Amino acid sequence: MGNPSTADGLIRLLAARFRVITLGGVAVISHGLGRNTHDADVWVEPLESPVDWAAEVGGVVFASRSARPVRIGTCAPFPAEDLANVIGDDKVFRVMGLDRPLDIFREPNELEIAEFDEVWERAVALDDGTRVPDAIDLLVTKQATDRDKDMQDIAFLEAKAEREYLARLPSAGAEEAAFMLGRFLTPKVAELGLRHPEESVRKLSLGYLKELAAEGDPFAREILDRV
Amino acid sequence: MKQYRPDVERQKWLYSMMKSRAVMRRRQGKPEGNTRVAQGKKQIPDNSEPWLPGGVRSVADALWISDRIKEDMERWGIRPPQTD
Repeated sequence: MGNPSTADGLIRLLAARFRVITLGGVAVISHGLGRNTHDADVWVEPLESPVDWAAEVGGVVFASRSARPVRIGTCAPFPAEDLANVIGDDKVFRVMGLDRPLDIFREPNELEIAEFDEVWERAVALDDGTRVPDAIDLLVTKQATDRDKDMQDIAFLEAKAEREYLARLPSAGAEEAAFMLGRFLTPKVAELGLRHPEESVRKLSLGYLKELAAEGDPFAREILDRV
Repeated sequence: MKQYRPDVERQKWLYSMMKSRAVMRRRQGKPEGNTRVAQGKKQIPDNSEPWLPGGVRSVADALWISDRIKEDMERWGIRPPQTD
């Protein structure tokens, strides 16, 4: 069991009762990037409603003597009975009073509540019961944040996802390849798709490459000029 | 299903950097690719070691790595680039 006075301990307690997916710095470090993180971020399964979530998840968090839950924007403390409203409005709350801040999400940036199950299925299980989202799901959470500090994470995760795609795409069947391209697309991946044995994949890749070029991607334009 | 695509503005910046590097290398009389490999020399292998053998197996492992990096940065007086 976890020590509820540390972020890691509280996460373990949550993971013993709910499905917990790591996000932010903890997840990026788990993928292999060497960097520091000021806090820990987790996505706890959304349950049926904010009221259910507040009762169940709040029951674990507020039972910790050290934990001091605050609102994410204002850092204003709030009582357990307000958690349903807070989580309904903010989608996340922060736990202070531990060895480091812990942000607990019901709905993270750029991912929908309804996507929890599929993100969980694709995620990698860790020994403590939590899971780390795959590189592409993690990239989605960092899209449109407009934060300079996410640039390093994005570059690392894009390169990792691209490497995996470049290794898998050539041997993927038509259906799998179409699914892969529909989920993650870079000019290099689309270029590789142009050499796929299935004609449908080659056509799809060319269409995507033209879309990227039309959006202004200079790498895609250069590839199109060559082919 | 949402399709993830790299941000176009970042792609333009990366492309611009790539072209600038190529121009600089041409002016220095260097080949576009890896100089050592182009000269038929052996590339020095990557000698970096993982923080933990076998990688991260728990949240505690990830936080341990973060704390070691933070300590090193404080020791060397490096300001943390990010604080999430």
